[in-house]
Amino acid sequence: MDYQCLLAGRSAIVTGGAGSVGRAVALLYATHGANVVILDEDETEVEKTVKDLREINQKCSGFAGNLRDPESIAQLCDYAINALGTADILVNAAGSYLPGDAETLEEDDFIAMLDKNVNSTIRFTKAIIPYMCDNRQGDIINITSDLATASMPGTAGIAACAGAIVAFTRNVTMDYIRYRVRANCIVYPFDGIEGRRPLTGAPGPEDVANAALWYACKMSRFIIGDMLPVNGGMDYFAGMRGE
Amino acid sequence: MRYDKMLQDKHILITAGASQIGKACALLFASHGGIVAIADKDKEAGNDLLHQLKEYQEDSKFYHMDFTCSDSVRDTCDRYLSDFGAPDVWVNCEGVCHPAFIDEQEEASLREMINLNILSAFRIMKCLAGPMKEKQGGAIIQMISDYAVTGANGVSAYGATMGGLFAMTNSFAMDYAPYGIRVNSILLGISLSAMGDIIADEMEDEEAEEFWVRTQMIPRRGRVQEVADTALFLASDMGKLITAEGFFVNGGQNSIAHNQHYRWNWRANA
Amino acid sequence: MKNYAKLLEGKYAVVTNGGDPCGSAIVKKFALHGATVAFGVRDIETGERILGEIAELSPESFYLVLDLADSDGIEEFCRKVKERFPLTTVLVNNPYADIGKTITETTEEDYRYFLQVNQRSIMQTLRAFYGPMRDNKCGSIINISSNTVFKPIMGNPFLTLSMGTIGGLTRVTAFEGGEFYVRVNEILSGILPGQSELSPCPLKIEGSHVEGMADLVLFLASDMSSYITGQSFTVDGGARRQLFA
Repeated sequence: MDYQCLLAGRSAIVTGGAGSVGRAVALLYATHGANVVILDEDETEVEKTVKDLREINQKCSGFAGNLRDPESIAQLCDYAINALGTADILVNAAGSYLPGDAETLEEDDFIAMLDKNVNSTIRFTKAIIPYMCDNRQGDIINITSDLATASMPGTAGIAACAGAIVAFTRNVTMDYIRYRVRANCIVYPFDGIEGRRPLTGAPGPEDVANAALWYACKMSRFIIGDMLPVNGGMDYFAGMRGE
Repeated sequence: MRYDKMLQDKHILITAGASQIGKACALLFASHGGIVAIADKDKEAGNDLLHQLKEYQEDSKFYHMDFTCSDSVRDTCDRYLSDFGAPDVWVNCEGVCHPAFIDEQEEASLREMINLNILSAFRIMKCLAGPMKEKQGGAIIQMISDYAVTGANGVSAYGATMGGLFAMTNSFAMDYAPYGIRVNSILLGISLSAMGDIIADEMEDEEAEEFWVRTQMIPRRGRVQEVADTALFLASDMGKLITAEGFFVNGGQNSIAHNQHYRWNWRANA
Repeated sequence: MKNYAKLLEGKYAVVTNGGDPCGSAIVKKFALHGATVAFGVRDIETGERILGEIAELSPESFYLVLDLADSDGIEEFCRKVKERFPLTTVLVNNPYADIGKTITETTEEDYRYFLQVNQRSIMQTLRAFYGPMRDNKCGSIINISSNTVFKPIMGNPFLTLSMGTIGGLTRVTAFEGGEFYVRVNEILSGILPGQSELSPCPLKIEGSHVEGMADLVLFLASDMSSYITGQSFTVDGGARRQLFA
């Protein structure tokens, strides 16, 4: 294994690739030799990221489309497969989160959030997984919020999305591991939550991207259905004695 | 607290409570002195149960409710709130399962599961949260499949909705803990879900028997009364320290590693 | 339908540490529900006081002086209980070792003390009482550990270490006992050993905390939980699921 070029020649699809985390993942994958296609909603942002990606690897490209609509997702996947020829790695980093508890979060906002996070993850997986099964290999990496397993007030909708994605990862890997398709997920504190954590400082997109690189390469080939919290041990923290 | 009347004069709302687990909870809670109201989409079963509940408590009520429609949910909750005020206990048993491998999962069934498993609980919570907060106390119990925290074959999308529901329930617990409202989940094993019925129906008795022995620590099917007992514990003052917790009622299924093989070998060698 | 006012009618129960606030609440709760209880205490005065409170409800209950740090003493305790009880069907292990020291301050003796009290004592009582339960296909074992297993507190490494072993022991005993209808569960308690209040938590709680703990133990000991085994229950008013303190 070449540790300078861990993903040499592999084809990666990064959804939400123009967002902060998705962009960091795409750039790191390209640096490690992967051919990356990014899929996101905003056209100008996609173009900007693709320009940066092409400076590293000419074979990278990107497409913009609606991530809440099943037909548009199917179309985006077709574009991606045409550009890459096949798919080895799928990173689901698309997501948008709105805080709010049961009273303050509007139902329509919640439905939009579920569509953008949970349904898009399920739909992209559904569209891409047959190619991975044919190749008898594939790595799926879902990135979501760390509110999946630990909670805080005013985050009902985010928790629902994150919990669903973590449970989906665990279940889907049970079905497809016989085709050597692995699924894992990474959870991180989404922007705007300042908490006390044993490790000081807040994790940035690069920290998440490093974890995503590890899950995509051969180093983690025996790890499936796993959840990796990139949050500085926040959920283990109970406080100092006597506080 | 009197242990034979743990829910004396408490107001209880059970959504999707006309059959199976909801029914068992309703009857047990009523026998413990609770004033039980049922909301369900099935009018006939609901009225049947109402008849039985009236023997315990004249004030019992049945509401017809369509979980998929937010207007119907709001309307039913408003009627409940004007009849009884904020509930002391809310038990939600709503859930639907369309098992499929993900590349064969249909868009319509995915939408239905999201709608009924996650959104319906959210809609009801939206209506009840404010009044329960004012009352400064109460218990909420959410029935969830244990696929929320374990992995299994052919239930990816269903498991996802259950995982989302579980995380959302825990988040509600954090939101309302300062007001003394306890929010807990009961994580049901396969033998207590609709899958359990399928196994019991389709397998020969001996084969089904063997299945329970192989997959569970307690080698038999669960009973709905056992779920109702756990719900009673969480609903009453017995569970007053407990919030944001998932109670597995599954005969120890989730704690067995590689359940199919290890136990089998152990039994063969014993 | 079961009698909810006397959930443990006619049962014989053992509580290894009935002396601290939590243990004595459990003993009293069991007596209230009709069980005959044998419990260990660290000194005679505490034992007499608790026995005086439950004498009317459960006249045959008794206490024995027991130090969980003394392994011979535990063997002796188990032998004496088995002599007096026809069949023990409820066993509650609530060990109590807790010293506030950091990793560098602790000594080898501290380590041995923690492992004896919080771990080996449970193994010893299991060895003594599990066999008869299995043979009679009836029993419930409850091991009480600490929620510091998931949410470690600063300056008490051996509490977390020794309590952390209880979960595994619980699950493996539950696995073995399952087909004999012996149920084994663990409680991750938010009440530190010897205390009577929960550590700070988000939930607003009215009334006595140890009562609430005793109610969960009663639930797990009785037939109300007949399909629950091999589980760990966190009782800490939601502190475990909190993202940060």
